[in-house]
Amino acid sequence: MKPFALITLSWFACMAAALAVCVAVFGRPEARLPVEVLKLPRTSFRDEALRAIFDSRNLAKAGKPLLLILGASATQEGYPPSALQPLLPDFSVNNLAIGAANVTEMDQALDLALKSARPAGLQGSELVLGLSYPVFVRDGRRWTHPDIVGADMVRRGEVVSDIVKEATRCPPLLDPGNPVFRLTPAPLSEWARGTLAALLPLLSHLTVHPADPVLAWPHWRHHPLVPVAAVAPAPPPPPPESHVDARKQMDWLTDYMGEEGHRLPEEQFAVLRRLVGKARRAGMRVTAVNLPLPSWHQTDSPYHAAYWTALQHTLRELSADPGVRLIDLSSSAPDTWFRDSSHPAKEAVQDWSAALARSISQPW
Amino acid sequence: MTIVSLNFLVFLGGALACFHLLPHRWRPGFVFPATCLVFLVLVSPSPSGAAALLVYFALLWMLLELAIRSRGRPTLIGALAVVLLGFGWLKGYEFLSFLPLSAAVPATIGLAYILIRSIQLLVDTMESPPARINPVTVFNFLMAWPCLVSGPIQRYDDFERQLAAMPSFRLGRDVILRAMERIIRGYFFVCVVGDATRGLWLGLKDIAFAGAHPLALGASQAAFLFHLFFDFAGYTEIVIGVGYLFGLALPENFNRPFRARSFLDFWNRWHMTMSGFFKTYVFNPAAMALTRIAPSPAWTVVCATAAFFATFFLVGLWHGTTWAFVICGLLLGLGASVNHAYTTRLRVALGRQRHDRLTSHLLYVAPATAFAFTYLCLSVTPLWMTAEELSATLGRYGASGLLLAEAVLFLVMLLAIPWWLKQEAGGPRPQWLACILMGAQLAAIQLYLFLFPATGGLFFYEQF
Repeated sequence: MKPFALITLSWFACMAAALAVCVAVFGRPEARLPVEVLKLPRTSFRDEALRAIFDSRNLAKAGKPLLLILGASATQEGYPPSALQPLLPDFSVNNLAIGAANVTEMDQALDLALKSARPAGLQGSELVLGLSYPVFVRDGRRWTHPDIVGADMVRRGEVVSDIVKEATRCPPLLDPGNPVFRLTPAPLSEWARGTLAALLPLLSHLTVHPADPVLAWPHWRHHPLVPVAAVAPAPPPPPPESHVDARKQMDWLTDYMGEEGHRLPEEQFAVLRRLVGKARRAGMRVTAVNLPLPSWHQTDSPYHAAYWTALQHTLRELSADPGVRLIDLSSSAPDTWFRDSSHPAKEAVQDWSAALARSISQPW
Repeated sequence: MTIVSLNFLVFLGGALACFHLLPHRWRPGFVFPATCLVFLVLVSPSPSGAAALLVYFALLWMLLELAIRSRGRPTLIGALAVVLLGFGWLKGYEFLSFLPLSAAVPATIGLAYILIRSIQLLVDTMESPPARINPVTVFNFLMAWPCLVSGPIQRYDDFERQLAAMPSFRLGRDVILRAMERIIRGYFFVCVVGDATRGLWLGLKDIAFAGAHPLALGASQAAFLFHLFFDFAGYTEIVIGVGYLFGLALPENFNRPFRARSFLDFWNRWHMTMSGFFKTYVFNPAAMALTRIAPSPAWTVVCATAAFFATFFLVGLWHGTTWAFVICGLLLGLGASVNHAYTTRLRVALGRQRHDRLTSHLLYVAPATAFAFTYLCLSVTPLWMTAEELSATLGRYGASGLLLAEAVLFLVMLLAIPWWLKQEAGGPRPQWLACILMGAQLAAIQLYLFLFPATGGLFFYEQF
């Protein structure tokens, strides 16, 4: 057999064997990855970013106009497709929100969606952007924050979003910023993502890095001259607190934004304009939603007023386009509908979704 | 642009296209130097860094011309002094900070390797001066892009011959297969094994720095050595494979270093082109000079020991500019000189037959090799610890803690080495098996990168 053919066959056989073993042991990946409810505290948004990368290929199969929802954790929790779909039967509801996303990451999620969705299917579709002041955090601040970025990324000092980080699994085919991704025909991109998706169930059984199981060996910290029996076992860690101090959470968000004088930078608003323009050129109508916040959060946060003013100003600039609108839901939810400083209580998700569905259904 | 980036592959594709599609007679005089210039601009940390290297090349060229015309030892010494001063200034050695514009020196890449090539060229040119020397050939040699970043270091006469043969070089199936085998193996080493060992080394380092944990400290030293091997050897494999595609047969840099039986044996197998340079251009002249000063046979061992110390001290300094590298040099020098002195004394004391019997017995080989590798791991810790970290580690562990860490490492090596030495070194593979292995390595790279997205940073030796 010719050498190059043998190399190709060997590569193909090894990949096929790996995929087959993965499917046999862990089962086929779910057609749609779950829009999971956040568990606090968290430092990894891996699964949500993977959902944006891999679930977006399902947009090609939508038989109805799309309702594509982008945003961060409050959007993810407040508007699950299971709650919204019955209320908006004329749309195919898809939520690609990612925890702690900023507008840059929302823009990348839109790129993934536009790659997959059929151009004809985008006509009459609607893009819903769940906005609040934390999504306007600067890239340099968000993607290097030690509380919500992995230690390896902080060590590298790179400013890459969770989508781009997860896309490094196969950058030419998964990273919306990669030229190969942009040039690859949509059907080929979908096939490649569908094939690689077979490996996703394996991820939940693996550590972040192959060295992690070795590093987890408890005796690395054990002194070699001290007998093992003489060392008292470490006490079990305390169970995580079930009660979240909402005020402390708001203070954390204030520190997280990290801007001098609490002025929001222009960077993310420029990305928002670019995002809206991209969606409009694809034929989608855009609804920017000012998300619900508890009343005390709106008055006490040093960022909320500036954000709302800047958002209104930005949308006013875009309002010459009849396909762009701003909906203010900030006061649509009583404080009892929140479980903390910004996220919906489980029992209030239906109410959140109903409020959004009512607003979206209003005539343009 | 790094060697494991998509940009490098795009550059490689462009360079290959220009090299093989343009008229062949253009290769040595135009295509190859043009690709070197483009590569220099792409990998340099800044445009000023690239410009600084080009100015350094111009200086070297003038010194070469002067050396050919003058042909005197004082000229050679003066030229070497200027080259070393220029290198020290550009590299940013603290003891040269008094030189003008030291604070404004741009960061460069590959400078340490350019230095070695230029010293080699200056010395060889003085010893056998040609009628004239082609500036384009010299540029190609000093800035040869496949080995600009981290070697391997080729001899000028070898390179000149291969460059002259470039117009007649044809890319055949066998050359492509050989190149692919090296390149794919290189990427497997860097992207899979190198990344896995890097994570292990950094994780153990964090544990070792978090408190006085001798197990973790010892293990991190070993993990670093393994990571460094796969990272650097992988880079070398890629570079040698790429060289094949352009008609360059670059020298090997590694010869199974983990089969070494002593500290000095290890350096004969690790980064061989660098070791060869230091042996030819530093150790030999130093040993000869010292022997001329003290010609008595009683002083021969002392002279050689001193020459070993000086040579390996310079190896440490060549790697970096801070006090950590001075410490590295002292440790390397101590190891080399003690190893040489011990080996010589043992041979004299036992006689050749008894010495050979002893040094082939496992009961001697295992502890001796374990000791050599333990000391080696210790001596290269300044490559991955700053001077402040070294000082903090000394303070945190104390002498007893450090000894304990090294003792643990020694014991583990002592247990592993007898098994390792029994493993047969593999011979050449049949082509069909090499092809299957290439396909498997490609799949392994793809799967590893998917399951464990890249966490690695720069290729380690690039910082030198």
